[in-house]
Amino acid sequence: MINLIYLILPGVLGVIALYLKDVTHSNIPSKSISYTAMGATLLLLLLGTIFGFSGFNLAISKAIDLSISFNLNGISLPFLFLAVLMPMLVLPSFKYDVFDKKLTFNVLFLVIYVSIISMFMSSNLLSLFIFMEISLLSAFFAIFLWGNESSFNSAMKFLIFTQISSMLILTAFLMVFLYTGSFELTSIGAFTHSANSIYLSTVFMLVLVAAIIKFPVFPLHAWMPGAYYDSATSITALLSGLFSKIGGYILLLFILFITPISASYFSMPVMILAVISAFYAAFIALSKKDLKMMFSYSSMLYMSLALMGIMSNNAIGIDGGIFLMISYGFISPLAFMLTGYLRSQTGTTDMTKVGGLMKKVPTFALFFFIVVFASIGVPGFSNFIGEFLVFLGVFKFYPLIIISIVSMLIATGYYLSAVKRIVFEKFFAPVKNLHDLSKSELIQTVALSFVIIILGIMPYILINSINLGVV
Amino acid sequence: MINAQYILIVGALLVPLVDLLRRELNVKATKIINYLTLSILLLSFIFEVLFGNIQSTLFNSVDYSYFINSFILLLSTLIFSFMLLHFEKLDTYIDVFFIITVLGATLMVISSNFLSLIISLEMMSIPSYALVLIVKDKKHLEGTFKYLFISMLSIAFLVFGSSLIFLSSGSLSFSSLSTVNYLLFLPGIAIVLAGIAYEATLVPFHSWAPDTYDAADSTVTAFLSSVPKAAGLIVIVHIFTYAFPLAEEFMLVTLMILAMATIIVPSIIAISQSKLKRMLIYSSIAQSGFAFVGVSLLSTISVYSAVFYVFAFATADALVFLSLSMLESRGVYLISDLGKAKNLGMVPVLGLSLGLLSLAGFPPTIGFFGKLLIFMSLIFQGYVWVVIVLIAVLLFSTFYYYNVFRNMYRRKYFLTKFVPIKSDIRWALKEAIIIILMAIVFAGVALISAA
Repeated sequence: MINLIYLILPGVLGVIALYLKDVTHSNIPSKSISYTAMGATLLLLLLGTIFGFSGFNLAISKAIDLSISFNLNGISLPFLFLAVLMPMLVLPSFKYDVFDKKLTFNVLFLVIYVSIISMFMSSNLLSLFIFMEISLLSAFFAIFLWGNESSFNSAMKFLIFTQISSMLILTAFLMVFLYTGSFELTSIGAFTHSANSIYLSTVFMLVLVAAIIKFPVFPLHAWMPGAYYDSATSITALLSGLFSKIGGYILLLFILFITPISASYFSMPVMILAVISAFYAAFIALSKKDLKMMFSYSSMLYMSLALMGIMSNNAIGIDGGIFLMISYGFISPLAFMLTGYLRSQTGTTDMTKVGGLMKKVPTFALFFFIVVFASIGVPGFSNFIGEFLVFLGVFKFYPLIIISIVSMLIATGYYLSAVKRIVFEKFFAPVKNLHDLSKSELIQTVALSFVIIILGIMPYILINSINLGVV
Repeated sequence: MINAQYILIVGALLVPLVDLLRRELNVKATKIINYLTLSILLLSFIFEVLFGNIQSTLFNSVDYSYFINSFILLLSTLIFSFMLLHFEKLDTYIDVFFIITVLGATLMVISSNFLSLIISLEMMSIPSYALVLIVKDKKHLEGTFKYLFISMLSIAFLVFGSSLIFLSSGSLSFSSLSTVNYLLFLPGIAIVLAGIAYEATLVPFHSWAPDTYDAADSTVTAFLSSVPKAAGLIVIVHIFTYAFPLAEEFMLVTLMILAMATIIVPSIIAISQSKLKRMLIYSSIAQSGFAFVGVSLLSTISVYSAVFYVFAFATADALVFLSLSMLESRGVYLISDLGKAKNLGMVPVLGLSLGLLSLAGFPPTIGFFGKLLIFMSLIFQGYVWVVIVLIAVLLFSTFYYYNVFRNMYRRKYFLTKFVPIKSDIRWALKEAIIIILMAIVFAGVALISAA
């Protein structure tokens, strides 16, 4: 049995090691410390999935029921898998835009890593909130310290929006605490799982609005374009791959374990909102000439689809929503990594200034194909399973909502036109002398694509780890 | 039993005597007096922890005064040792006044009678005028005079209000106010509230605070804005829980409005400040308003949450201003200076950031838990709209806090171009004090049940 506390120990030790490295002026590269910490965590996770996990409980304050308690619930394993594996594959792309303060960058990266892992493991809502806030504050610093010129404003917008959503979540948690007298997920569930009142519906509504901000979904997405566009490549990948899942995870906790009855009242309106959001994101992405912007909005599109699945009120849809979140959590880092590569080579991500890269950089073109086909949902890639399950669940919920599949059609349109612009046609670029993907970049892209394809052809390894009934 | 207050009284008498002896013997070194003061403060903290407060007819401990007095004495000890390191030469009268101020603050927390309250308030505020004048020049003198006049006014208010309460109830003791004549009682409370509000810088009685705090040296500001303010806040908690359940609805409306004004108005003013210290002063005034929200509800939970919040607030305030004092000695005065100054060092910058985060209520600092408890008691009593307004104001105040962060971390001098400076034992010891306070900001969570 692997105790869950061991999963965060390598990260914490890594931060200490980075501090010691700074004090002793040692020559060990910071990134190797980070890789070691993350690799150890991944190893522990694999050992844990084989030998089983045991929980960890440490009461801090009885008065407000604060305890650091790590216990897995039915849905935390897939999210944990994403949070442990993905940052490791994202970290190499720091070389595109992080040129100074590498040590600080690694420290922040590890802090984000550890806090998000702890968040997905926490079974105490208050400690879950605390870990979430730590990760969001670190993300704020990470956005504006290594972003472009306007990154501070974007970071501020990001912080204010996420703070609003955090405060809504905190209010909901407090209301739950006052209703049940506990922050522990199991004891809350025992009280509220079959209860039905306006009070609990209010709680669910607060969480829902918070999740809509964090996803982001249509009316409250204003922080997204700036935060994704202005931050460094690896941070963008983290934001779209990991941070957008926080809202979904908390929403799922409420839908499955805390307020399932209230959640069903909100299904239809949220579903309609998600459909609007999907079309909105698809149309905006269609109009964008910048590759990074296009990927940002298409990430919003897939999050809308995931929300649709989550709210569909049946097991297939919820499974699909989780699967889609995890699978796109691996696709969008690959997309943003390729964008970062393109910018490092040609100095631009504008699709009107770059074209015909097939002949000059064929490996890049290959992985660009993989990203596009995986996103569109070609069978064999992971997104296909997620989209298929989501649409199945949605159809089961209310057949007419299946029109949202048209948004995928639009997505296919803009993805293929991007392929046509960037990969095919006659070669033109601001810089003529291009280098193909280097060895380290190749390892990174191959690893990400490997995960995407493995999830696509063996989806049961992820789906079997989802257990919707167990707190 | 030897209580902390006896130690402080003996110290306040002993220090001038030893000083006199020193003058008679023509000993030049004044350090010995300073160390004596420091040991008295430390001793009083230890005795407070061991034996608690004094108990008499005028001074009566309640269950939280032990906790409050312990942290007041701890903070005073830390701040005084910081002042010793900060000033090359500390005049000996400062030592006596410091001890008397701390004594007044600890007595104020446990006073159970208007008479003892007024005496201990006087005892606390009169020596602190001299603390503001720790550096003798025109700027400090101006701040001192503002403080002096306003304090006189507040004492006059307090005496007048107490006499009205005495007329209406026939007693000055908090616990024996049972049958009252409301015609005199309500104005009495209002005037007493105004009197204490000057000390605790409630809006609209706060106008002296920015000037005085700004004029004073940052270490003194750290002391004034944490210890006497905490004592003032606790007195408000004390009076309105033990003396005035009679006027509950009046108090709820008045205190709630005052508290909201205290939170909102300085938050708005703080945005336009370009001087770092003034910004911090305004934000510290604003953050102290959260305690009053807790007080105004007058329920058991809300009072305890207010007590814990006072602890969280005072610690963070001391941390912020002590870090600021270290930064000022490296030439940081404006917010924009943070990006330009060299060799700031990591500890004061981290201390300032942590203190600001705790003031802004970011987890897992104690500021977060203080605000959490207050929000909890608000939601528990059904004041969800107040929580929403407070959250909006908090978001508003994030603007200027994070503006500080931007200036701190954006420029290239931080961490990367850190040139090791000549090691200085004073600087290192100051850093040690900041680190202790930072540890308290995290570890204070364990004290929630103690409050």
